[in-house]
Amino acid sequence: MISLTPSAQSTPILVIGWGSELRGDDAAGLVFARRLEAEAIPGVEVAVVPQLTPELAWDVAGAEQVVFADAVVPGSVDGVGDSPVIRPLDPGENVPARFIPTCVHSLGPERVLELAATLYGKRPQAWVLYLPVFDFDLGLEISPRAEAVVDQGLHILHAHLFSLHPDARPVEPPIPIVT
Amino acid sequence: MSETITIDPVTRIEGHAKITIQLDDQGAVEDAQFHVTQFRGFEKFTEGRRFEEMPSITARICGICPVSHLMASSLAGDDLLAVEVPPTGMKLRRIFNLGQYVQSHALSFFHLTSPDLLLGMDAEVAERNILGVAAKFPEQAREGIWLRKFGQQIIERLSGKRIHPMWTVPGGVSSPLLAKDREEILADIPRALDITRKTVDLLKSLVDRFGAEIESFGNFPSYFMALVTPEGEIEHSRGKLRIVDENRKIVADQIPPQAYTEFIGEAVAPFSYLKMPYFKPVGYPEGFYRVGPLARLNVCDRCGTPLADAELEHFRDLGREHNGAVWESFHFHYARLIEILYALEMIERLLQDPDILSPHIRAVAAPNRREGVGISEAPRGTLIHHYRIDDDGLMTWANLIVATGHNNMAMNRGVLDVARRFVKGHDISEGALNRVEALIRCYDPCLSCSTHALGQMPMLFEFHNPRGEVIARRKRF
Repeated sequence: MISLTPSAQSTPILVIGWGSELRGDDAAGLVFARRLEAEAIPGVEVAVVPQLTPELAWDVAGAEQVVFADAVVPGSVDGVGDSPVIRPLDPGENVPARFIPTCVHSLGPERVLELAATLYGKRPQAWVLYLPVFDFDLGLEISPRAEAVVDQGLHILHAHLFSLHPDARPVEPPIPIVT
Repeated sequence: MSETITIDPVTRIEGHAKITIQLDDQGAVEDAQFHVTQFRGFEKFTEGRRFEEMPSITARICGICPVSHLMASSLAGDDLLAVEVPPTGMKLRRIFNLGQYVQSHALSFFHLTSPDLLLGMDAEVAERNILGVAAKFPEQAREGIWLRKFGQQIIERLSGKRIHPMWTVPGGVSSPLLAKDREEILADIPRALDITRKTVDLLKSLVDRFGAEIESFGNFPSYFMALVTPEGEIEHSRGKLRIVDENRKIVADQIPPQAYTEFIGEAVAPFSYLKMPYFKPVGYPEGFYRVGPLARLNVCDRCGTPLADAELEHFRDLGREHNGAVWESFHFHYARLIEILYALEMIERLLQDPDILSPHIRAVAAPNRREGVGISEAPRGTLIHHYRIDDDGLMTWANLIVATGHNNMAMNRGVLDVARRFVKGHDISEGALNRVEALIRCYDPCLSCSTHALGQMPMLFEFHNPRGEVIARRKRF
C-alpha cells in the first residue's frame, strides 16, 4: 500500500533526471538518469521524469539526499559553461531564474523541496547537476556532444557519491569534452 | 480609441498559449481569441517510421498523459492488423487507461484547480498555486498527491514504468498482470475512493462561492461528443462515437472510428496552429462541440458503476433546464471528480474479473490494412489517431486530433464570454486575468499535445486597439 506520508529516509540517495525526449539534447537529464539507473548502485534510487511535478515531493521527502539532473543552455546559469557542474541547493538560496516555476505542472527543484518541507516536514540535502547541451531541435536522440556531457556528468556524480559515502565505488576522473 | 489585450501565456496548463483581448473605444471587450502559437508538426515527423513504433513515439508527446496516446495509437494499430484484441488484453488496457484518468484528473483538480477553489480567484497570484494550497490546506494537498501517485502506480505496476510506458501495443498488451500487483492495487482502492468522495463533498461545499464564474465560464449551448458502449454507457478505452445536441438529444450515434471523417471536419483559423474541428452535418463554425469530462457525462446514458451513477444524478440536476445537458464549463471540475469515482470502481471490478491474470493478452499478425483509425477517450477528451502505411508497414501519413483541438472553438467562445464579464479596459486586475485563465483551465488543455508544441506554459495577455495595435501586455509566469 502507498502510505499517505513517505517513510523517513527510506531512500539514501534519490537522483531525478528530467527533460523532453522529443527535443534532442533536452533529454540529456533523462539519458543521464537511465544510465545511472542501469548501474544499479546500492542505496541510489533514480527517477526518470519528463518534468518535475508536485508528487515528487513525496519521493524527495523520503530521501536523505537528492540530486536533480537537467539539461541547461550553456551560459544561462551563472558559472555554468560547456562542462557539467554540480552545485548544492541550499535552503533560502537565491535560485537561478530558470528554476522559478512558470506553472505548477512543472516545478523547479527548489519548489519540490519546499513542497516536501511544507507537506511532510522533511527537506533533504540537495544538489543540482547542470548538463550543458546545445541542440534542442526535434529529434529522438541526443547529439554526440551531449552524449559526452552525459558521460562526464556520470563521472561527476560518481565522485559526488564517493565524497558523501566513501564506501561507494571508486571513481575515475572526469573525461574532458572533445569539441 | 478601442484597444486589444493579450494574455500570453496561460499558466497551469501545458504547452504555450496567448490570449488577445480587443477593446473598443470605450474600453469594453469587443472580441477575444485564444491563440496557440507553437507548432510541433508531429504528423510529418513520424512519416517513414514503422507503425509499430507509433505508440512509443506518440506517447512522448506529453509527459502527463502518455497513456492516452498509447491507447489511441494501439487501437489504430489493431485496425491496421485487422485483429481482435483478446478479452484479457482489452481489460488490462482499460485498467491502464483508467489509472491514467485517476492520475491526470487528480493533477488537474488538486494541483491546478484547487488553488482557485480553495484560495479564491482574487487571491494573491504568488500564493494561488499548489504551494499556496500546501501551506493553507496541507491535508487536501497531501491527498491530491497521494491520489495522483496511486494512479501512476497502477500504470507502473502494469507496465513497469510510470512515464512513457510502452506496454500497450498493436494487438493487445505486452505482458500479463501479476497476482501480487493486482492485490496491491486492490488494497489501495478504499483509500482512493474515500479521498475522492471527500473531494466531491468539498467541491459541492464550495460551488456557491462561484456563482458568477459558473454563470459566465463557457455557459453556452453546443454539441457534445464522446465514446459510448453499445448500451450507451460511458467508455474511455474503445467504443463508438456519439454526438448529442445542447439538449442531450442524440444527433449521431454508434459512429465507428473509421467513419469519423463523415462527421468531423477540421477548419483552420489564421490566429492559431490548432485546428478547429466541427460537426460536419451542421458545418463550420455552427457545428462546434465540446469533448472531455463534461461532454462524456452529457453524452452517456449512465456510467455503469454505483457511486459514479449516484453522482451523475446530481450532475443531471445541474442541466435540468436543458433536459439534463450541463452547459457551464465550470462543471468540468465536478465531472472530472465523478470520472475518478467511475475509474476507481471500474478498476476494482476489472481486477476482480476471473480472467484478469490470463496470459492470453495479445493477438499477433502482420498488417492486413493500409489505413487504420484508433479512437480513445483521453482524460481531456476524445483522441483520434488515423494512420496510413505502405506495403512495408512504414507510415506514409498521419492525422492526430486531440482533445484540446476538439475544444478549441469552445475555449475561444468561453474566453470571449469571460473577458466580457470580468475585463474592463486594459488596466486589468489579477483576479480578472485569472478568471480568463481559469476558463481555459476548466478544459485542462494540453497544448503541448494539441499543437505538438514544446515548452512550459507561460501566458501572455495582449490588449489591442481597433487598428490592431498592441497597447498593453501582461505576462504571467
